[in-house]
Amino acid sequence: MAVIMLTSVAVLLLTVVAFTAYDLVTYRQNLVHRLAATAAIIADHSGPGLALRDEQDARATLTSLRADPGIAAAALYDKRGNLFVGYPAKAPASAFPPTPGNRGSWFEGGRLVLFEPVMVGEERVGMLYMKSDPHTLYARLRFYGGIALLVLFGSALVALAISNTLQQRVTRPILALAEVAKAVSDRGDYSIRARKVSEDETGLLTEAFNGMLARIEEQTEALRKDEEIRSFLAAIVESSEDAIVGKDLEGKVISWNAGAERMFGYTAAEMVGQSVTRVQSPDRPEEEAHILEEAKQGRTRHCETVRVRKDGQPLDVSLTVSPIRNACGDIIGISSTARDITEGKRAERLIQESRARLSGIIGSAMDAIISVDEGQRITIFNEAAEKMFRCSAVEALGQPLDRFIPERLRQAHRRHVAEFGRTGVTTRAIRNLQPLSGLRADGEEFPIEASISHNEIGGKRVYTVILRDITERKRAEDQIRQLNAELEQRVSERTAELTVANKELESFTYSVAHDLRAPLRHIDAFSNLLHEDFKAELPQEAQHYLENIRRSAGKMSLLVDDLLNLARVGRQELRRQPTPLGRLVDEVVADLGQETAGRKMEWHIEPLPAVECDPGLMKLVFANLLSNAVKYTRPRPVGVIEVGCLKMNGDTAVFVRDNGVGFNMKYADKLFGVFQRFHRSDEFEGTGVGLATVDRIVRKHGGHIWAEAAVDKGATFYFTVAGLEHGMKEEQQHIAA
Amino acid sequence: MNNKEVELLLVEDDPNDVELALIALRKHKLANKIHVVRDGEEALDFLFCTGSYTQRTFNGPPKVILLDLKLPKVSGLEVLKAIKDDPRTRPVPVVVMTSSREQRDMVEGYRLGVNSYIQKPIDFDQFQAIIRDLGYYWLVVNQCPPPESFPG
Repeated sequence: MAVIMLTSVAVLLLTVVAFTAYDLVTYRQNLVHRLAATAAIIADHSGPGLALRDEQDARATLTSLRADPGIAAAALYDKRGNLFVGYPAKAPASAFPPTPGNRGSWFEGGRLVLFEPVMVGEERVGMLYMKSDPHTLYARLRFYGGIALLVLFGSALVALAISNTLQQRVTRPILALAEVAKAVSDRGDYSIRARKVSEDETGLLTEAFNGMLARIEEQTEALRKDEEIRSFLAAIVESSEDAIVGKDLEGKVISWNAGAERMFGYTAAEMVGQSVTRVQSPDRPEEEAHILEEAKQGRTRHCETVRVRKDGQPLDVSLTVSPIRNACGDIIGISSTARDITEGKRAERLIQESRARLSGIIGSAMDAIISVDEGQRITIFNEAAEKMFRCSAVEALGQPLDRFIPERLRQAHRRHVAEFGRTGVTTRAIRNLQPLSGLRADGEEFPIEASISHNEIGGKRVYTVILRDITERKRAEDQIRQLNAELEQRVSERTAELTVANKELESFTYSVAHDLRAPLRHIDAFSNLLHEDFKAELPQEAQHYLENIRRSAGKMSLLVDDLLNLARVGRQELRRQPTPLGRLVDEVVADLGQETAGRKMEWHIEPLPAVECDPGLMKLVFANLLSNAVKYTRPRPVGVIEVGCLKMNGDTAVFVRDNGVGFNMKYADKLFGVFQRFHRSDEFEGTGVGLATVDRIVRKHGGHIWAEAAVDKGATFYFTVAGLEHGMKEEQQHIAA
Repeated sequence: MNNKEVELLLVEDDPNDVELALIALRKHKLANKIHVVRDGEEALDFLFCTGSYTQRTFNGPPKVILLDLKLPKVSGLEVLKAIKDDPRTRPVPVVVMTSSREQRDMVEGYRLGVNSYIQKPIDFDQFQAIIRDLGYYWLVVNQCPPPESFPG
């Protein structure tokens, strides 16, 4: 603002000074001209007066000068140069030069002084002196000075006003602009905008500035997006399962992503700067060179090839190689993306194998396999189908399935297939579709059994039926059914017979128990009475016979008892209950006390489990086995009998072992037969029924019995019972606890 | 004879067994007041004073009944049931003596309330010993219920 003020004031001052100077010069010149003109007039008018020395006339002429206030003094000098008349009349003589000067005019102390000769004709009669009043000049100067001051003041005011306006209009927006620029540079925020306040140059400037900011912002945003895209792309590359490799035009690796590290086993550090031929398969040595060459020519190539991992493992890969171009479109490198398709290849091979296997199966299947498409047209027709329907595959393929279905069943079949398609079930036997028949090409109808499946192949529904010609089977089934019926008839007849026989047997054994024993008792009793009451009268021999009768009766009684036991085992229902076998053994050993009395016995009885069995019958088993053991160890100084439980050939068995006379294993198969005896009865008494009974009881309990023995080396009897194994485990747990 | 006091009623169809039992009892001087019936029907007639025994007065039941199981007409177990079902005869001790080894007979006998169950041994010596012990026990040792305890 100060500048504006200063400038305007200086300009004004200069103007005023110049103007004043010009005016003064002009004024002086005008003054000289006017004074000269006045002087000439006065001189003309005063000539006669002077020449005549008429003072009055001369004075009157001079006094006319009153009309010009610019003339301060005037005087007329005579020929001799003496003052003749002065003007103003009252002015002292000192106010005039004493002598006239030379003709001419000049300034003296700001007053114009003029000397003009006064002529009458050709004769100079005197001199005129005139002096201007300097006050007019001063007044004029003062006037100019005042005007200059006024103008200066006014213009200063105007300048102030203008500069104020300008400041409003120009400076402020620029200052605002400057502030915005500072904020932008300080904060780096290019979204800030300057406010446009006017439509003038400042406004334009603001607009331009804002425009610039907008562009900067756009570019910054674009740069940021670029950066984002770059990192995004980098992340895609890094996270890709595929191996993405960047190479220069010589095939040297520039970038090697994580996928490549995983796939090839080389780290990026190992590969960057190296030739990519490191992963090239040795049996394709030219491959990489070809790839490079093609890429250099700007072609993108897709191929499947084999690469080699760091560990030497070959790798099936699908490869995409494409050139990388810079902004100008020049090829500056090559990118290659490899995907591991080893699994895919394997799957493909498997599919091929399974397809081959499948077609092998279909071809060699004994059943007819027929596939139809949605339009019921045959697409698969295997060899068995050819045989079954007596129609070649060539003829059958593309034909409607109806051709092989008897006409009366076609409708039902179509309905069934459609329904089946809707169920969503993928396989189903349609055996229940009654009656199911096929139609051979020669028109013969035959019974079939079918199962149907459907699946979607390539969006189309395919039905596959597997058919079996059951003509033969039906015949066989009918036969079997007939045989079965006959058999059942026979069985029921036999069962009835058996029931009768069983009843008879039952009453027979009951009779034996009662009726057969009674006479025996009587024989014994009466022979005893005879012996006792008539002993004295009987000869020695008769007494001996009586003794024999009694012994025979006793033996027969034993036999009857054993046979009764045996019969009872067969007849009796098992009354199973949990029974500790050890307790049964203890009871039997106690019962045997009489027979072992006086003998040296060693009993080794291990803990035995509890099993579900008929305790009465199971006791009979131990009674027989242990009494046998006692009986056959009789010749031994010490009878050693062991009872225990062991695992043998996967079976858990109870065993009874003795150190008795044993037997020859040659006869082992006869061991459990009824009335089979291995010893003479005068050596070891017995009926030959005991082991048969034991065998029957064991078998009734779901077990079996066998023996190991050698002559004079003792015998061991083993038997199993259902539930023994389980019982033994529990027993062991019990013992462990 | 009908009104004679009977201490022991022997129900036995087999004459040999009757004879042997009597011999054994006689040997031990226990053969006094014995009455023998030969089948189940006769046994019941005797006990309930019916049939050929209608003349017999009911009071004075036997001290013990020795009952064979296999009897003609009415079986031993049926006789036992009739005895134990009737309040008049229920207190009379019944001893089954049988040649049978059928367990179910024994079980059934006890179920019906038999007081003792004996299997006849084959050996006569043992048989004699049993008869002796049995006679002593039931006829001498054992206290029979008083006649007043038999209603009607």
